[in-house]
Amino acid sequence: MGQANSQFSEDELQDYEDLTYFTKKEILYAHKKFKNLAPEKVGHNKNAKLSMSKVLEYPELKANPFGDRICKVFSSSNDGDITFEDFLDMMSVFSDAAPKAVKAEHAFRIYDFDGDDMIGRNDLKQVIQRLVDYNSDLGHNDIDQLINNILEEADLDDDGALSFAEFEHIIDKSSDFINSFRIRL
Amino acid sequence: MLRKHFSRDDSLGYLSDSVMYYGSYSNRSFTLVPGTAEYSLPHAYFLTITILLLATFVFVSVSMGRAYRISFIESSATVQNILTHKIVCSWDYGIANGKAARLKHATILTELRDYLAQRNRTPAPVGRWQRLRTETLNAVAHATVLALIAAVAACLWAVLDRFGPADHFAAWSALYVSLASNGTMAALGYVCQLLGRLERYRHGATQLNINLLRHFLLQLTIVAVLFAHWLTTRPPTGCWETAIGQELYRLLVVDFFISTVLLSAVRGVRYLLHARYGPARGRPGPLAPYLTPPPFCIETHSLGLVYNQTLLWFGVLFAPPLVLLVALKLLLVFYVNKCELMYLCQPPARLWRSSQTQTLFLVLVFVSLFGVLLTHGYLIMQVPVSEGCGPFRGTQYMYQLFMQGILKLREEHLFWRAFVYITKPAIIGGVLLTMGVATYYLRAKSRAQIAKVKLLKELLCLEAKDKEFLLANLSKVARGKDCTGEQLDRIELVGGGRLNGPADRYYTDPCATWRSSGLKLSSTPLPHPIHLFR
Repeated sequence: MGQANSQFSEDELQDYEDLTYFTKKEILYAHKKFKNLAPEKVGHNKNAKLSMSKVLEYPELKANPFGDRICKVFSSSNDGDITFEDFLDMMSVFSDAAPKAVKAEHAFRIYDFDGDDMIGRNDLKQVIQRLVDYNSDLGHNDIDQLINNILEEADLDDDGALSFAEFEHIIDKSSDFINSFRIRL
Repeated sequence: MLRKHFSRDDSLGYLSDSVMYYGSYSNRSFTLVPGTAEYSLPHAYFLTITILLLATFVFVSVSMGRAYRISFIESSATVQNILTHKIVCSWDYGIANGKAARLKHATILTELRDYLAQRNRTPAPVGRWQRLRTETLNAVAHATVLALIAAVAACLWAVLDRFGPADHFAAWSALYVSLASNGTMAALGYVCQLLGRLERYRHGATQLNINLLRHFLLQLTIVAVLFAHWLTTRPPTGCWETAIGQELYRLLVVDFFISTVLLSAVRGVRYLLHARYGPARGRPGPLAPYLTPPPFCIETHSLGLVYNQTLLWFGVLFAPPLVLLVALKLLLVFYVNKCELMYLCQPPARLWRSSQTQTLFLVLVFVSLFGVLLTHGYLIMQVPVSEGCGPFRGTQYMYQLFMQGILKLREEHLFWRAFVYITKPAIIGGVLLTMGVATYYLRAKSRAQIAKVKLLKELLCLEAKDKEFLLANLSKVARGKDCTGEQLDRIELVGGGRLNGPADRYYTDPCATWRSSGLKLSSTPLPHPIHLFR
């Protein structure tokens, strides 16, 4: 811990604490975990940029079917490469202290594959396929039916896609979302 | 080795005299550190147990209230069924290893296929005869289950009468009671599940809840029969409190062996059979379709936990180290179940909604804890203490110690009379009734809210359609003045519109909300260009 302390100045830690939902101890712990992904590179530069494939070795991201989407959403250079600050931001949104609205906003961006601020039919199709791990038991007809049902239930203005307001409306009413949209450091 | 714990030589068995049982606590007070006040063991015993139970009760009630509010009142009950919620909230982002991830994928797949099957299923017949038939089947199933439970209670009472008070420390017959109660619980669980297949309810969730409640009712009956028997019959010699303590230890240990060890072994065997002869292997035998991997039954395990806790709370008054035993046992059970789930069982077919299921189990825990507290209340007030053992010897009833020793009250005091009045069953019943009414009121309010939201949604939809209609009409009228139709095709809902043509008189009207969007006007430039919605 003492070694990690010498890497961050007090001001930096204070800044990070103000900008995220973490305490100073948790920030240092997060840095330790980040360093485990690529010890030499992070040892040289504490804010090193790691490629997406390196970051996807983090256990929770590796097991997650939306791992690459998470990396793209939180990457400041929008290409999936994660610096330590991106990683801290990611863990802070997924932590217990983040409010529901913040989580909902990031969940929306993760599920919006084409980035057009709407979750359309293609986005939903990709989500469903990734959730069942591309299992062939769920055929194209089944997926289409599921998408139709989702749009029927959640699409309030009948434009064939879910906007953020509609998405947030569903999330607001659920109590399971906070429990499932969480990664503990 | 087992026998040594439960056996008795000419004097009482070694452990009967230890702190494991109530009987050995002395009723004297003594000074721990010379010079300070006396430490009175009876008072300490009474107060510790009472405070522990009351604190647990308060904690459970508060948790239950909070969970109920979150999962039933704040979130509308209909949300739990909709598909979008299932899709968005189904993946647990905390999953960190590959095997758990594969399990989760399989569970999600099963859940989605179940959903599709339910949607595509032909709707339930609504003819009169069909409904009558379904109702009769359900009624018959309920009646059968209730009859079975009553039969179990009667048999258990008979077994207790036969084997309970006998001098059982020398033989294995001491274990008959425990074996009987735990065995019947396990067996009847299966019977209830089989019965459940006969009935047909509209939602699968209702079927599961009813199964759960039946199993719980069975447990409650068994526990109630045990308590009633212990409180009404006395062993011929010795302390009845110590006897109860011994019985509880036996029950818990036997339950561990039957529910955890034995049933896990059965599941292990079933898994091995599946691995060797199952349908997916090279040489499928004749029984192949039946040898599926064992299912992981969350409700059975959770109800087992509730059962353990109920016994623990009852027994804390009689054998305080029960707490340690149960803690150890539950730790072992957790690890055994975890191994079972990871290696042996197939994933549960339904995604259990964690928050709603948690609320349900908290309610069950609350109900059993309340029952235990009532029993203790009765015990403290009405059941005479043994003469020769325990920290309360000397007083006739346990509460007298509290009243006289601690509060230094006499029988005619006002507080005493008020206290006795409050603990009458009618008052307690009244309090419970009020709580029930309050819960019903809050739930009715939330349902009214849901209906209101639905109506408002429909209203919004209709208004949107109205707006579209009006704007389309306006554009049609405007188009009549000007012939370039294609630029008028897109009407924007945000109070704007594209207009072409210098001759349109709307354009110069400052009250109109049309906006120009970069179209050049060949004639009069406006003195005040309208750029309202840039």
